[in-house]
Amino acid sequence: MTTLAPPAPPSRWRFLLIATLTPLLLAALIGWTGVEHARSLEAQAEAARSFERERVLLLLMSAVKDAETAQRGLLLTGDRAFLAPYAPARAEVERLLGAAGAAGRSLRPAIAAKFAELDATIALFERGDAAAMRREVASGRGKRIMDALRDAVAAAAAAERTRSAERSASFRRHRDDSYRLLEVSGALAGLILLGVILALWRSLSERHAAARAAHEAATRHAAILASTTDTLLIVTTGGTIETINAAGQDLLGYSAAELSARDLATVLPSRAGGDDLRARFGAGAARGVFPDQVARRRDGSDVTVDVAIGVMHGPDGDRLVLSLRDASDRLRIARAKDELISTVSHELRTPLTSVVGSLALLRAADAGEWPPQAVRLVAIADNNARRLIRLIDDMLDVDRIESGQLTIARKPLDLRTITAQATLDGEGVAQRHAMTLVDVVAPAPVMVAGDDGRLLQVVTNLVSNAIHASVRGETVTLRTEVAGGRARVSVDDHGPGVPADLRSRLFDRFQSQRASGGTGLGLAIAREIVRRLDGTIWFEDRAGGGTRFAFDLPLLTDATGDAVGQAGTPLILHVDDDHDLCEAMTVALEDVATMICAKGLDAARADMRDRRPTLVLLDMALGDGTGAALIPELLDAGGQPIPLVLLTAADVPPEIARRATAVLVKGRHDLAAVVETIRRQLRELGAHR
Amino acid sequence: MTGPLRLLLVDDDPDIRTIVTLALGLDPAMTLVAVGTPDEALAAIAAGPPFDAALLDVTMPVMDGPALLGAVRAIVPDLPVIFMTAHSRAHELVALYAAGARGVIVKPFDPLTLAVQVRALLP
Repeated sequence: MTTLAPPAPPSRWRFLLIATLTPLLLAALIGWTGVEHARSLEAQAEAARSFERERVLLLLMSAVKDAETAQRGLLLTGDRAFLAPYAPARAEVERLLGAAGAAGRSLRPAIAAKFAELDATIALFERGDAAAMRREVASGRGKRIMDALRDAVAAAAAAERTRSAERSASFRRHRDDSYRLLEVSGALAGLILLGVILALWRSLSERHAAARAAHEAATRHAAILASTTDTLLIVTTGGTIETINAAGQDLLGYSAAELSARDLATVLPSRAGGDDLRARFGAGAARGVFPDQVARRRDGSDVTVDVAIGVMHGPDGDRLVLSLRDASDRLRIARAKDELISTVSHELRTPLTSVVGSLALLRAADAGEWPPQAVRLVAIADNNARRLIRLIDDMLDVDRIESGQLTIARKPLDLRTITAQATLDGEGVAQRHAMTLVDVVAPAPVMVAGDDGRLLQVVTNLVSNAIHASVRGETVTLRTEVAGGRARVSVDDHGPGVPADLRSRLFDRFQSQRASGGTGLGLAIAREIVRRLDGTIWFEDRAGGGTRFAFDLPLLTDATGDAVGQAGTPLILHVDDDHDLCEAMTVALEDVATMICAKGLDAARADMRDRRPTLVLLDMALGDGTGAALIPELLDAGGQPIPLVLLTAADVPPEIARRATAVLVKGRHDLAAVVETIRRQLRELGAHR
Repeated sequence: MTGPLRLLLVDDDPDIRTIVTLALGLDPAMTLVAVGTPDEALAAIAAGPPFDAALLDVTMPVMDGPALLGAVRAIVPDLPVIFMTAHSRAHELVALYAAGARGVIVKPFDPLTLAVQVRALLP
């Protein structure tokens, strides 16, 4: 079952960020619009002022001209009436100069000069010197002043006109900008409104969908609770019942209301001792399946149930979901199967007893007078009847394995006796197939803790398979050995090998019968037996063709860590840096002892500690020191000195020679003499035991 | 045990009775009375002479092996009883020993060594 993660809550910070930034943006846009608008208004006012100043300058010029016209009229006509506009024009000029601002101030000297010239000529006229006035005018000074004034006014007016145009352009620019900003702000505001409305809609529909999903889930859960045929109890971790489904009400006889808030012990009473389910609740180790629990009904009767417990995590704490399955059917079926197997086995064995018994008595009788065909037919009938018996036995074994009732003893035994027996038993079949059985026996006992009957069953099965996989005239080889620190039995054949499609499932049931001519159960049973003895069974292709089936088992060791097999035969520690000599000693002594070779002091110390040899053969001159250093440490488990034989080319000090039971000198004593000395030592040791 | 033995066989299967008779006949010192029903068995015991042991089938109509053992013991309390059965499962064998069997011989048995097996089970 997959665990579904609960949906994550919406991010508050993201929401706050959007809710803050959006109005800020809008306010900034509106503020900017206001600024642009104010700027445009200011530019507009500036432009209007410039226009006004230009108009004032033109009026100023016009007023100066009026004053000059009055002077000229007076000069031409001598009529004083022409002088009437002069004073008002001059007053107008003064007023306009004030209104013209900075330009007025710059024009004032030129205008003052003009009026000085006008006043001077008019004064000449007033004194009655019209001719002098005429001369003065004719001199052109007044005209020059006037021209200069006209140019200055024209320049100032042009400047004001330019400024006015600039301000107008600026006004239009700012106005357009503010319009654009207004549009953007409006659009943004519209978008925000749209977003808010969409979000609101989505939130509403999601809330609806969630409510609907929750409703559907609740309906579905209720339907599951109601329709499942197993009892379902939802219980707090404290053991208080919250809910029971309809099936549970049927099984236990309670209504849901009667059990609500009651303790679980009401329906699952604690048992004294044994596997108390409720003891596991607090520890959180409640998850799992607990078969054969007793549930109590409302009427006080008990029913055997299998209880599966799951944990349901919720926002208001954990709940336990207890699924109670009525085990009566399972037990009934198991009993029925048991009876069926028992009956079938019995009913098949009874007639087979007659068949096999008759055939055995027939074959034991004097068969000399029988035609050869009759002998052969009796043998065929006997073989096949025995095969049927084997099939029944195998079926019973498979049933024992399945029901966990396969009992396997663990007694110390020598695997060599098993292969010897299997060879003996298989000889008859091998001869019928014109085949040879060879048992390659280990030199020393190969001790394991096992069940002789069951191990013989395994080896017999492997031998039988090997014989059936081979063709006439070939050899099947059994071998016992110690390999990789484990006891190993292997059976080699020269057959065609295991077909590719069978390799991965050869040890499964009913996979190998065609290849082996057996029941198809033998290898499955063999694997189980080997597995139960902490061993491994396998097959491998042999280099020269054929197949090797092998199994290995832990070597039996006693309390001190000695390999018992080796302890049965003496264990000799040979400390010598001459590895070839050690090899030679191993071969020479293999029928009476197991050799350990140690090349230096450290290796020797490790072997002393781990293997506890019965005798030590010591070279005095070693690569990493003198063998004498080892002598005080050569003690057995009881602290007694271990028998020591010195084999050395070096000189032996007398105090060390006294500690040794024998001193042999390399070069003086040959290998045969050394071996003979060791053998004698071992015989003496054996006599003392 | 060596020496002459007088044995009672009760088995409802006549073929088995024949084979056991032949198998035990290989031992010249054994005398076998083979019967097919509990009634015949009880009659044979009552008729005498006394038997050294009884070989009983387990699954029989009317009265099964253990029940017959009870009936036999009611007459001869110390008669050694050996069951011969095609039941081979551990709990079945345990039940037979619990009923008071001296020994159990599982069918199919080897007729050539049956006499040896029987002798091995008797004191």
